[in-house]
Amino acid sequence: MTSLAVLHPALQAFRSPLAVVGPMGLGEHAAWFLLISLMTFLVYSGLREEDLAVVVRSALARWVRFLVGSAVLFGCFAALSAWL
Amino acid sequence: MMRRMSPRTGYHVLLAWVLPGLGHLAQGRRGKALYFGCLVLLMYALGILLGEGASVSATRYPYHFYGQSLAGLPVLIGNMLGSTPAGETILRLELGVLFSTVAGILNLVVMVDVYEFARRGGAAAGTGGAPTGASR
Repeated sequence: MTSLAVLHPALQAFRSPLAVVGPMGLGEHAAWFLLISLMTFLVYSGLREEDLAVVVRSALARWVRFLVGSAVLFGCFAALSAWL
Repeated sequence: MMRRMSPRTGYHVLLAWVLPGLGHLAQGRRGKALYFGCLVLLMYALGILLGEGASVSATRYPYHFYGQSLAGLPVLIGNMLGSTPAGETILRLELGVLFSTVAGILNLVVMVDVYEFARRGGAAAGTGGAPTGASR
């Protein structure tokens, strides 16, 4: 399918404002990881639950547990790579 | 209480696919419509922004497109309007592809919620009043 952006120079010229920051470092990787995991938990926790306050609370609780587990895994892999 | 699937249920699920949150709106659940719609569309918009318009493409990323297409009309429009990287490196293109794919997959969760609400009998009340279903 031909992209309509070819017909519209403004769309073709679109550039993300983040491009000026340069390549992603570890901090930016971590920030995007936090954001995508949080949004995933916020949507998933909304399944079969109607009270949005409960949804957000349970999502945040699950997210924090997930982050703790992720931090432990990160520490294990960091220690392993330093040892090897 | 489980009910047979009615044509209206299928219509609401289809609406949820077409635009995230629209299925919930059709069921009368305005709060959840806004909640899910904003989350999924924000994630999709981030994917487009990070990929500079090139993150949704059925030709360049066919397997990711299977996941992206679950987000419905915004993805189809993004595929039609999307730009093609013209020699320049888009630094966050893979991240953009990831965000837009996850947005589509999360819209599947939203569609399941619409379906489950209908199966619990919510949609059968017409405007979809407060459900009696239990939360997990």
